[in-house]
Amino acid sequence: MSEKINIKLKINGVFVTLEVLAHQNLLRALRDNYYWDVKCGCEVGECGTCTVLLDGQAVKSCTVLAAACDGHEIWTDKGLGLSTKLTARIQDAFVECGSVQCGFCTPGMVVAATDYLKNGGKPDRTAIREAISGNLCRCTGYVKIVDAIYKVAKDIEEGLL
Amino acid sequence: MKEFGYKNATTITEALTLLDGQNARVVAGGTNVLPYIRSGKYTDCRLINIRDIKDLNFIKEDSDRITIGACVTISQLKKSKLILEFVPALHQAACVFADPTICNTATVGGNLASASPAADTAPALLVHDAIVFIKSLNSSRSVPLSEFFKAPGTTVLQRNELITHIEISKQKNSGFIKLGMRKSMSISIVTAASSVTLNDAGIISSCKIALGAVAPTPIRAAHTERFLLSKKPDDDTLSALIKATNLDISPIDDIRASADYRREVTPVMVKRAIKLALYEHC
Amino acid sequence: MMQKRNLKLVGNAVPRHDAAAKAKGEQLYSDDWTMPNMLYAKVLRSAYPAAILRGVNTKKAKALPGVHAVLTADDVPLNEDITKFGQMRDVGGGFEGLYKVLARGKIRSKSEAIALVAAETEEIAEEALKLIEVDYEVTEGVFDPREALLPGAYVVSSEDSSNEIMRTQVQCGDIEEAFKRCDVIIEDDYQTTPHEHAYIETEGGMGWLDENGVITLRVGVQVLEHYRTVAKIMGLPHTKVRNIGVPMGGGFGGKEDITVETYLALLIAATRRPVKMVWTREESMETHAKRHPEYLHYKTGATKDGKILAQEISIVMDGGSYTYLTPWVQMYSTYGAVGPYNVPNVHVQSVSAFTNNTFSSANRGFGGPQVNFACERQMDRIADALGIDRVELRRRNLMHNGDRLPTGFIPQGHIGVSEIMDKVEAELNKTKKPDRLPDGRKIGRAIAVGHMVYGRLTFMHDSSRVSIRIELDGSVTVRAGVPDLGGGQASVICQIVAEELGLDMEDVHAYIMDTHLTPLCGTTTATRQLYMSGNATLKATAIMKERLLPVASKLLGYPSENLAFGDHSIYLVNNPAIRIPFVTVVGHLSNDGGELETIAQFNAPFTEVPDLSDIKGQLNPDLTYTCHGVEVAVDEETGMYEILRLIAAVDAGKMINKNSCEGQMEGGCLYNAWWPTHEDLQWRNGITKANNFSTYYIPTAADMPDVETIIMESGGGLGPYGAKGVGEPSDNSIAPAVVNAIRDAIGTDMNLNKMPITPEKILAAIKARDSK
Repeated sequence: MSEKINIKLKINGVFVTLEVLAHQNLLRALRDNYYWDVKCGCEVGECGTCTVLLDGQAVKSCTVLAAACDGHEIWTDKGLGLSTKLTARIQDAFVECGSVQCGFCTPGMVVAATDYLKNGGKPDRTAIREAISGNLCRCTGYVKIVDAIYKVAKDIEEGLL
Repeated sequence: MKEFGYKNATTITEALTLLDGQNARVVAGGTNVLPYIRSGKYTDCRLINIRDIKDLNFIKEDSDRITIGACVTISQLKKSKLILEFVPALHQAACVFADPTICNTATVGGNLASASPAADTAPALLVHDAIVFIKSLNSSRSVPLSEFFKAPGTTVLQRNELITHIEISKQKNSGFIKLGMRKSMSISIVTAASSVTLNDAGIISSCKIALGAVAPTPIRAAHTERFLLSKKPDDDTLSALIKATNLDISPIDDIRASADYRREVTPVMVKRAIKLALYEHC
Repeated sequence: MMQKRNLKLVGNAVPRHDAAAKAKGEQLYSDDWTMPNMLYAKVLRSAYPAAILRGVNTKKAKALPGVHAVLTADDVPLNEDITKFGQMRDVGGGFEGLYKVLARGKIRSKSEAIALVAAETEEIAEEALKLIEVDYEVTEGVFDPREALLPGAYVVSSEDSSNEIMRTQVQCGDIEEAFKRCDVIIEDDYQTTPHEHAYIETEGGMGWLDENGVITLRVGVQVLEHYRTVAKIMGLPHTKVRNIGVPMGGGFGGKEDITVETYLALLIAATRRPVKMVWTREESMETHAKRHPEYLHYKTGATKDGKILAQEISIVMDGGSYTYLTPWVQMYSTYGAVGPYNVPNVHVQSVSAFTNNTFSSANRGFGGPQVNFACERQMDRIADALGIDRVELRRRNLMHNGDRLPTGFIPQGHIGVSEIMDKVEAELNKTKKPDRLPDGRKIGRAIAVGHMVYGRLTFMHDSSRVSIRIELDGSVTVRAGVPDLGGGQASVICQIVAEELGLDMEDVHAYIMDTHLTPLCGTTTATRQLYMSGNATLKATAIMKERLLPVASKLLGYPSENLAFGDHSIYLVNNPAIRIPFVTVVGHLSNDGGELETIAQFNAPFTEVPDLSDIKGQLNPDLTYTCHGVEVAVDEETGMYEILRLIAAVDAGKMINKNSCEGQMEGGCLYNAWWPTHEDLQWRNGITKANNFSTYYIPTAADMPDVETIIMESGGGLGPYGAKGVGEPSDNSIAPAVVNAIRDAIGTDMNLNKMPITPEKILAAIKARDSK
């Protein structure tokens, strides 16, 4: 059995202590603790549905060592939506624009979009496509996902958010 | 059953102490190590986390050199103005590296230490004469990147050693290009980097070419470099690379492409890398 | 034709009822359910694609601390059964093959399940797999269906004497005589590769034994009715197995076959504890069904004025290790092979065979995309041979209303393929095609058309049931056993209810896919839910309206036929100010003892099982027609190409949800655009070499352009409001459009007929062209 490690970290704004295995990835650690909005699609960093913010940057949680998150800060789609205006607006735009089909890639997409927009991402479809190019979607053809992120970027540009 | 241990290192010395004489493995970003753990490539060792060591995370400028800490992420490289200006090939490699989320965790040290023949930063660093600085508890040494890789997955690094930083020379005329099946999340079929200087007559006075995914390790392309030296980088020259380039490479058939295909397209990639270096640098 | 009415919700981009939960991360999927005391389960798959199973020793695995069950075929009450796919009618042996739960006798592929393990943790279960000792006698195997059909070939199964699964044909006219009258004949071989669904959610789920002895599952599946097979396997009455279905993270046909349901049931029964099983990505890609690889031979003859006179086609299909849906898919390939064209003389022969590859079954398009690829490649080549514009050649042969399919059937729905093709042509060529991009890449353009049925094979006697209940506050609950795989299958039902009863989406609550509590809607397959369950929903709302209208009529003092539903009211059509709140009418109906709940069933047209030696007549309710226009840029130095423009057109009959309809068209493009070139599983002697997303390349957002959708609404469909189905048709005709555009760019047909059409093959074709 791998060593068990207690880590203290902030998840979705709340300080928590988790017991994780030495070799465990952050994805499993989060899901084992009922952060179900972080999905598992491949577990080798190739699909992006497990994307979370780690210290403010979008990362694939399946390629992050859970133990190494001790003292760091994690935000997931659900937590971001409940706490930040930007993500809540992105989520609403996904609903309005028909960006959600099966929804399995959606939490990761919303987190990747949050990263893009909070770092000054512009309403530029090519740049948006680049920003979400680590997140696979098999249902939508990406068009309406780009629509939603573009819409929020436009709102930001026009000072509406 | 998996039998791993874990320790967090907050300083280089602490990391080296934990590595010394131990069955230990370094984890930085984790983008290679986590899949290795899952696939069973890594078993039963103590994982030493180094991503929080501040002394491994910096990009510094001297008069003619740039120094990059081993834990600098690909995203940091992408955003760095120093890299953009003085190491354009590395900037370009960072821009096509994996995907944006992987770039946020993957580190330059990890990309080199994993020693994939297709490691995207390697050819870019090779044409900038990168030197890898390595430390163990009791010694330190530096190795030119061209002598760093030994075989696929193997480098000169010992289990008790750590890459601390990489030093590269400034050169504004460098370029990098990647051929992959997708625009994002692609493992390279062929990569090429170049660093080229022209004299006043427009003749190539110095030239470095490096290639990825066409040999057991990322390589400098000596025959190609010799062929190009003292020539004008015009279409005639750049269309006649195939013979020289094929002497440099020893590609294999793998799941991404055949050896024959790699032989066909490597000269094309070299040509494009040179054009990028000469005409399209930022 | 339906009467004209003002629709408030239908046709609009109404947010789906479940979109907010999904966007906010609140939707739970099959892997998101847990229970105290739950065990984790794993499957031991075969180490070899072909072998004889001599024995399995589970002693060591059972002895591992934390292991609670290790099961083999001997532990399965009924290990061999017939595959069923939710149909209400037995259609017989030719269409229903063997379903084997765990391996016994010959091992037919690497995906074969040999043993099941349930343990305290996933890691212990994995460890236990390693301790199971399997005695294999490795055999040669056969991996190409053409070889499998040769006399003396290795026989894949222990249950059959040959590898042939099914042989069938369609013919009309006189093919020999017709070819004599042709001025040009194009004849060639085509090959298509297996295709991976690549849904982002792998197969999985959990279950438990409830207090009434019911094996209760929470598994996302396209066919809820598999609970019947699970019960049969377990030796239980149908009433003792329940699946409270879960929305799927994508299906595309890959979750149409049974996945984890039987395994969970067996382990739950053995341990009497809750059990969870989720497949890894690699396991998913190596194990679940693939689109049938097909080997096609096309001989097409035309007169010099561009009239196609004859098509002679033979198809060999790789069914892989088990029958599953092969015969059904084969029907679609066989009668769809000539495309949406009037061809007076046709002979299509097809045969399917077992091999030691992963089994083939449903994959979005269901036998349509393979023949569409070959057929549309042929059309361009005939046009080129005749010197006729490629679109014009199609125009001269396309079907119109009243035309017959090769089986003699005249489709009843509108045939709008020429209209949408004209629209795509205008759009694609609104600018003159440049020869090259500034970076030197060569531009190519192409258009392809397709036809694809919606609704199941009519000899299956398909039906769907939907129930609605009006609450006393005027809100409505819809109960429907409609598995939602992401296409909006459930949301569209809510939209119809809201539309018909004059309510908002928010007033309608959907309770879906619970085998004990929802009426069975049938499968979410065959592009049938909108058509079947949409019509059932319309029927149910009509019943409720008939109950509500007399009450409203009495209260308002106007005849029922002058009243309509809207804005939460029932109002006088000619003077909407005269109205009564919907909730008031509901209250009166309830006070009077009226029924506030109803269930309605919709039946598709019924036909008899066809004579396979000569298929005739109707096989499906109707067809949907598509047209795709593509512009590509080909890098002539590397053979790589990029899709610059995608135009996707369909006659949807009537859009119910604009976002969902466009979303299908956009997603359909992505789904098949790279099938011919990038999405290669790299099967080598029964081994799937590309078994994850780093080697099986599906497009990222950076690889795809925006899709320009053109949706025509002819009103000529058999679904609600004249709608047709678009889910599967949306991915038809895109693949040949891409390849034909590459052809247009590089100016040679070399290497473009056999998938995978890799950059290497494209480059070789360019080099061969240049050396001429």
